Amino acid sequence: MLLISATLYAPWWCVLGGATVGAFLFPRYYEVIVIGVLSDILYGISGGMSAGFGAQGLIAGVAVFVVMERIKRDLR
Amino acid sequence: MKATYRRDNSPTKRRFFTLAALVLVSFLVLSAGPVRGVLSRAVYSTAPGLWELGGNIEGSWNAFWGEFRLKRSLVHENETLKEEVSRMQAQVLDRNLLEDRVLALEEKLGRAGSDVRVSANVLAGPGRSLYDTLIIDAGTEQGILVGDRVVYVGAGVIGTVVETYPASAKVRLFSSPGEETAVVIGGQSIPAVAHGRGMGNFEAKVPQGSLVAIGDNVLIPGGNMILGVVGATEEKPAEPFMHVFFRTPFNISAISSVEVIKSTP
Repeated sequence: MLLISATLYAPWWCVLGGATVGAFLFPRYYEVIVIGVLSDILYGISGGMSAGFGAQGLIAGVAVFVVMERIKRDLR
Repeated sequence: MKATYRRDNSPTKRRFFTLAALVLVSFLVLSAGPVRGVLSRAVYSTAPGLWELGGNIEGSWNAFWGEFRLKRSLVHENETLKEEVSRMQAQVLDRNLLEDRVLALEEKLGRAGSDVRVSANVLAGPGRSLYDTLIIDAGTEQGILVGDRVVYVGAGVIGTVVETYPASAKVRLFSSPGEETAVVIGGQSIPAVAHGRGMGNFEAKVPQGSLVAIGDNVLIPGGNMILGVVGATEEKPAEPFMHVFFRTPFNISAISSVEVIKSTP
């Protein structure tokens, strides 16, 4: 709920920070990808590579998920 | 004797497949136009109401904290604002006079402009996402169509409507990365293509030796609409072009209302 509210009202870097913290604290935090898709639907525009193919949020969400899972595995 | 243990990686595999499936489904949802359209309409049936609610709460919060501000700072702010208002009133008078002259000239030439404009509040600005888009609170119910131009304070053109919903619309800013717009630069009306660089910034290339100076206006051809003001130029002897960097004359992330020019059917 906090991340959904942040997607609606806060700047993108706040959402990214919150998603990173969430992905670090919770196991298998797939919500980060869903939040990315929500961001794309709310603000996204279809376009070429410069617009991230209309999937910048999804790409960022997957990147955060994969990187944080890797970091957690290495820290274990 | 050395014992070897086979690592059980089935949960890892399962996790990988879950992630791959989720990414694939998300990508298909975003890339398939009709599915994305249905989802967008569903989201936009609630989101504008939530944005308006957020705006109202923010306004109330600011008003509440305003009561606790120091009196002295308020007096100083009041004086500054009064000065600003008087300066702007003078500018408006000057502008009204010029507008009357332009209208009179256009009528004489038989080219009187009569566009229909719809005022709209900005629900979400470009700072909310990596996309350079605006969400406004006017949509198909107000007669707004995809492709309509969006302007700020009368003449500063900022973008075009790309998606419409009953009570809201999505505006792609001309400064979006990858966006290309035909412009004319300076008093000599040098034609160029402006490339969006995000958050109200643009870059254009003009031939070396062109008379472009800092502070020159950049206009959309044919519409008398300002796109930006030249902030810097860069010339390299090895290149046949001069790079012109310009930005919108206002802070694009701070705008709260815009006008949509309705296209004539």
